[in-house]
Amino acid sequence: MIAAGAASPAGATAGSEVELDPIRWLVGHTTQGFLLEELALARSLGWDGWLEYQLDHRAIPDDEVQARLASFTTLTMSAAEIHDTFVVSGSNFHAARELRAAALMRSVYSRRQLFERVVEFFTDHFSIDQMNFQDRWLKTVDDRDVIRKHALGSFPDMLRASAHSAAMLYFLNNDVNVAAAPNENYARELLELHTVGVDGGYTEQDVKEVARALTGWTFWPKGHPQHGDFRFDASVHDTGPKTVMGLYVPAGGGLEDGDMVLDYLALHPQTAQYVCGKLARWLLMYEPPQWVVDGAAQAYLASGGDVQEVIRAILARDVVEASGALGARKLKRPFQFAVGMLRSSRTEIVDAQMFLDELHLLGNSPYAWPQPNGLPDTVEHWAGSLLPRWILASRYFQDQVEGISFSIQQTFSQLGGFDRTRAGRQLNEVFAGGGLSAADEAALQAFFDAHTSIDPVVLGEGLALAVSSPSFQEY
Amino acid sequence: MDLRDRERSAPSSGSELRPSRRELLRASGVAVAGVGLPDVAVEKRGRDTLVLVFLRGGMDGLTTVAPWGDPDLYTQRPTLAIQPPGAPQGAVDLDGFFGLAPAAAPLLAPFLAGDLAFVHAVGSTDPTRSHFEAYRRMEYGFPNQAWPTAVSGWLARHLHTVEPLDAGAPLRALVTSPAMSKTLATAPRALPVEFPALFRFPGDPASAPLRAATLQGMHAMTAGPLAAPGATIFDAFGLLESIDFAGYQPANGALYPDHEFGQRMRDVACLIKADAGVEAVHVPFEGWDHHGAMGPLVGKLAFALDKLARSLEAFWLDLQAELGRVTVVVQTEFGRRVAENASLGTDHGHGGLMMILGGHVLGGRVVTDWPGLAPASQDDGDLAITIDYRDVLLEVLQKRLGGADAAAVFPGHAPTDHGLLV
Repeated sequence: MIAAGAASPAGATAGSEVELDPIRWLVGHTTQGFLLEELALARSLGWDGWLEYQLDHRAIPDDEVQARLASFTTLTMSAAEIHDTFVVSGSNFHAARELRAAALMRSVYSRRQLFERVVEFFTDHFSIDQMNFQDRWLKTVDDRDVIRKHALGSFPDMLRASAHSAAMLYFLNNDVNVAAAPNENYARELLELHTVGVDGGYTEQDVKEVARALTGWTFWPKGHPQHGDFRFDASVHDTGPKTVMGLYVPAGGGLEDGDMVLDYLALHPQTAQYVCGKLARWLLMYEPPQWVVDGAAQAYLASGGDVQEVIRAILARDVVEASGALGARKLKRPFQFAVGMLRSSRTEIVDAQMFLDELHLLGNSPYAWPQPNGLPDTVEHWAGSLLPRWILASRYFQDQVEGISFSIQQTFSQLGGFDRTRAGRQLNEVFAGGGLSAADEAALQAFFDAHTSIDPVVLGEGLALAVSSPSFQEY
Repeated sequence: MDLRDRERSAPSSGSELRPSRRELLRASGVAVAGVGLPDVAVEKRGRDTLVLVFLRGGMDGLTTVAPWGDPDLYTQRPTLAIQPPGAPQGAVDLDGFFGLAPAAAPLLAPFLAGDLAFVHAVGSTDPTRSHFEAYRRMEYGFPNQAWPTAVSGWLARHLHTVEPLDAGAPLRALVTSPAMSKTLATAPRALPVEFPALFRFPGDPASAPLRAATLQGMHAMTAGPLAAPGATIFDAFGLLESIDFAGYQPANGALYPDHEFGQRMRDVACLIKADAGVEAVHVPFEGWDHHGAMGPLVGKLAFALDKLARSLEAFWLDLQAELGRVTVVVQTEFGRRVAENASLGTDHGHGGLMMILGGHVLGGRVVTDWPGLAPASQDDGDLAITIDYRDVLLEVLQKRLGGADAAAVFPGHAPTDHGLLV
């Protein structure tokens, strides 16, 4: 690896002074929130050991989350089954609610934390608004058979699965893309958002040609036994020749026209740049050095688009240290904020719905982003939006959110119980593995020192202040 | 957390002038199109609150204000075109050439009163047909050019270059969504406030002073990107907690539709009446990207237009007494392809429609240099742009928001005054 780029924190976005701790950084960037035992495990496994442990995600036992999701019957159903069981009887939102709850439960309880973090990334990359009519149930299948199936696998496989996914075909109108007058919606976003990116060198003509190549790509409609399965309708396919970014698709083709285009785009060098750049931004820092992206793109192309190889290239210890990422800080999006709060406080979720409804006010309910570009991952977008976090934290730690509660005993069990004389330090350990700023820690201690006795209400207020602190919003 | 202790500015003197003009117009019964009455030009402070409604997805201007007098409309859109006035479900005529889609008919009243103007074949001349690229270029305000690495929103740059409307105002601008908009990126004293009625410091009021002081202290100690919004939130509590958004009673029998956009506009009206020094409110409105089953008469587009038109009509009615100090601008990232596609929808286009509503608007007009819809007149299949969206925004800033530093707000753009306002 090239040793370019000084390890200075030039990319730092926050001024909170936090002591550098490489393993804590790694855990903070490969999990959805701190658990002291996960941090301890990472310290014992070391940098590479922890990364490989998390990448080999299927080998990590995940019984707890499986048990908690056992009653969510729609997660394993086909679109036709969900439609015929729930939608026809008027339960339009049942599957959508289960999937949203599952997203929260998996992020909180799964031990496969890196996997869940990458699932969140690709959910945004192939973003689908779950509230878009049929996507209320089609997204459940897309989440399982496109995103979760391939998130730590092959990106080209994920891309092809997405292009065959009823949820995506429906969301971006390719299900009605026909030769007579093509619908360009999916074709445009395939280029702009899913593969080569907006600066990937395509033209308006390329958009039109991709749309023509994908005419006839649709799915079986509601009521059909195969509802939700991919269907190619040759009768509305444009059989003329097409040219997409220099790729010639000869006349007379059918389904293979689209396959050719997808195969070409999947391994296009611009796709490698675009997808790896986004992933480096997600896992590493807001402005990753170009040499990091180049290294990841090289790994992408050499491995045929293996996501694990890309992650190894981005999160190798020498790369992280040389990139300056250890001194840079990212702002948690609201979902990560909320999941971190729940994980560290050893939450017990009996029913996630009320919490999810409140999370919606933070602008980051799962699968609810209305546009196909996915939620922004920027300081600009999220920095002003702090009050909704403070409100959610206050309500959660006063047990005012129905269906969910935290455990004081378990939260402090590894620290020998709550100790008001070192409460600031304890909260720093519990919620951030010691990664809160010294100023925030001191302010928390001062809050407890201002009370003569600490009852559960005061303790809850202190916990809410800990997760409302500026340095808890960063990672 | 304290309520503001500064002197509140006196109500605008425009409130005395507006009704008489309006009554005069109504009583006269004459068509008021094109009549610009500068009788409200003298205001105590001469500045408005800008309400910027952004229709996300690409609103179809050819449906909303249909050029029924252009015969090519009907050859290009055999299925989707709004029919001429007089036909079943035909357009509501505006000026003998353009007409409102039936679902947008509630806009007729403010139009006839001279408070609403449409600007047609307008937009960003940047050639992108991507939503997201269009947002970036339009909201940051750098079409057709590279932009500096440290980007900011065009409206943020305006706020940085003018004196605050009210030096003591805790909040100069807000966006009614859960997170910040690009238009207001880096703006001073600006916040996302989706539900102003919920803008309250949480928890037990008895313990709030200590908790608030703790949290405020933490934000004062941080030097990162949370320092400024943290401080602004604490400043804004006093203002927003003092306004009764939940119990707000609109004036003049105005009925805000019970959906997201209608309720946002109701909140904005309440905020404007409080006269608290807020200079700009950005109101994003999602759901205008109708590639398939567009439904200009009974479908998705008609539904969205009904929401928009009834909400704007209610806002106009509610703020009759305050119209002299408010300007509403409605914009979208681009219009839609002239020709319809085979799925009864339209794809991304270029030229579009803007609206401008307020007491100083020279309304009752469709302002345009109409390029025509014939294929030879189109821009790569789309309505050509003959008015730059930056002209419209700069004219509003120049005349109603304390002056415009055009070079700072839209670098590289030489603006043209289209006489939209006084």
